[in-house]
Amino acid sequence: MATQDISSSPLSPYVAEFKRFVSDTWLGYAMVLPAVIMLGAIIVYPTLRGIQLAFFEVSLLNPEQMTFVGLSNFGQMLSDATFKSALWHTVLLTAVAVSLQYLLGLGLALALKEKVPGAGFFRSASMITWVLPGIVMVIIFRFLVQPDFGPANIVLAKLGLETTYWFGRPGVAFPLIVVMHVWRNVPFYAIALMAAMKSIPETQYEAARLDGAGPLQAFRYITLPQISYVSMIMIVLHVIFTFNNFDIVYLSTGGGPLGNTEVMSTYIYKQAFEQYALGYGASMALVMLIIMMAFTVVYVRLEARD
Amino acid sequence: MLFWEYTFPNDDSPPIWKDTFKENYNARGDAPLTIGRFSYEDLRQKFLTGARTGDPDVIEGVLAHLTEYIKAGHLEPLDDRVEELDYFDGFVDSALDAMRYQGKLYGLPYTGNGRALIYRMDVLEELGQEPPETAQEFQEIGRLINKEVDGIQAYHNCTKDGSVRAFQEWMSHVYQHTDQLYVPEGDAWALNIDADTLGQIFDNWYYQVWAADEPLGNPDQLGTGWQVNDPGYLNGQFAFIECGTWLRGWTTGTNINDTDATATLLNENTGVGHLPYGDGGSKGTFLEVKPIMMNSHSDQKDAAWDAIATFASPDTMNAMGEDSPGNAMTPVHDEVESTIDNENWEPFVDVFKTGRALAKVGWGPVREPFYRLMQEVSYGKTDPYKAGTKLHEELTALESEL
Repeated sequence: MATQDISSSPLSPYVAEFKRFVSDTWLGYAMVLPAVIMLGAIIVYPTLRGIQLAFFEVSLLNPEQMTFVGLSNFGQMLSDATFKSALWHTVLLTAVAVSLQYLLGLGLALALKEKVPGAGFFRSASMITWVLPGIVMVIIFRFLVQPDFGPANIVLAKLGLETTYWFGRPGVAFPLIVVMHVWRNVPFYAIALMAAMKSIPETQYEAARLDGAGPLQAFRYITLPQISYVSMIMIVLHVIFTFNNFDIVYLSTGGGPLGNTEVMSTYIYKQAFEQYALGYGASMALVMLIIMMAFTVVYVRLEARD
Repeated sequence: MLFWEYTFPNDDSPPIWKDTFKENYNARGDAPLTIGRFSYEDLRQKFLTGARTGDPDVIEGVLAHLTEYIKAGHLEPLDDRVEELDYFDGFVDSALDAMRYQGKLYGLPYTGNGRALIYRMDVLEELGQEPPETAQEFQEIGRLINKEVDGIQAYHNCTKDGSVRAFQEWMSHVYQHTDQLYVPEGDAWALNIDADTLGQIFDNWYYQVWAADEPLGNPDQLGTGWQVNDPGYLNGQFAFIECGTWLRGWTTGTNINDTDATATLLNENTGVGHLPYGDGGSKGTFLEVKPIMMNSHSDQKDAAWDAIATFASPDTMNAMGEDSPGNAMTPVHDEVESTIDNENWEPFVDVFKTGRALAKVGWGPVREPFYRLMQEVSYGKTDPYKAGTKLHEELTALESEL
């Protein structure tokens, strides 16, 4: 009986290619499949479900009963004074907190970069605020501003200044929230920026000195351009973190007093889990998602530039 | 069999109650028991969103949760199962009624208390005053305390946005004027209080306390919650607070400055009475009854029932009194011994009898306008009676949604 050698068949290149495809590519696909399924389950599905809910009237207590309402949830936002106020507070908090964090973090990084005694210890110690759980930080701050026995009030009293429960004071509670964000994140900025500064070759500074550049010029023309990439990444990431932050506000003021610290995340939580308005909450979350997507695009482009 | 709770003591003391429950459960059921602990807010959120998975099989919580879980279809009626309990007839009627909705029993009570006026007997004695019965008397005595007694503030209540305790304190005063804030009317609910009364409650308990010319409270403590209220009293800062029975055994912990001083304050200088009421009101207060409930989606309902029957048994509840005395001062069952060991605290029994359980409406939408307007009044931004009118309008608008 005649036999045909497959290697001499005109189809053999295709068979070999198919075998290679199966053995290489599909193996690769098979390897990433579990991760893809998991990401789909914990990220893609909830996101799509949230987007879907934004167009329905649905109660947390009876999520199966959904009524399609089109864009009316978004229309409701336009006449919702608390939503507008929460959005404004969120934008303001993000802008102020991230700006202060960057400026103070930059200053701290410049200080830590210098070979001063104790800088190593301070570098380690300064990270404590960043690694503290949010609830611990809030408890510390609440204790600090307690009437009568809070250390901040004790100092103010000794100076003959006004004391009060500062988280309960309209006009002060919001700045305190900003301070908590700054206190928490400045060390992270400092460490990241310091690492970027350390990667700048010392020869560049020496060359600049030989050319007669002063410290300010060296900072302006050598340091700043070479930490700009890390700076942008840090800023974009913290814009996202701060815009989304829930625990600091919820645990310290609950959005009060008089709605002075209500931000998007706390208002969405209240709508969905306290008012049972899952659809309306989802629609506000979608607005947040769109705003955050814009920053994510910036972040991804910065990453791609690298 | 998975049981979620937030009630067993979580300190260094021997877990008498928890161990007794486990022993009793093992004697009755054979499904392995796993106990998970979460804060009440976490319990609520996880159960409302995940009960359909069948976990947990049994959950413990507060009365407002029971209402929400019923409306979400997550609770199994227990009427058929309770017939086998030889101790069922011993439950206090008001506590058991609080577990019922539309004729069905959705949980068993295991602890309860009524919110009372906790006052400093030594301060009142020093001023030659009797405990106040009316809001008018309360304000007069409170202002006298602020004027005459150094180092102590007359009163504190909770005004933090979103504070559950603030809502309960407000409801206590609502119950002095009406049996229920909402009553069934056909297939819907109807608001059962008038705008003027809501305004009067705002006036007596928020405007006069925080925003009036001579406030009863310390304006520095505006916007605070139970974290200032209870430890403040225990550390001798306040002459009056509104509180439940849990205060009795609270003499240690990070919030307590001086254990001995707090013990003396609670043992010798603290009195308990009905909350003062305003014009047209009478004795009444918020009844806190905590239920243990069965997940209607559980696939181990018999084992879940074993846990419920064991947890709410007099034997287990008596063990509860041993390591959590505050939970058993006003027992919800005839066969459970009261842990009241001091005659000054005995009025809690009478207060408990005047308690009213929350109506079975979803309370979330009611809380939001309350918090907003309560803060506006407390911060002096809105006239209390205008706030009462506004709240009445908003609560009326909610009738069809509840």
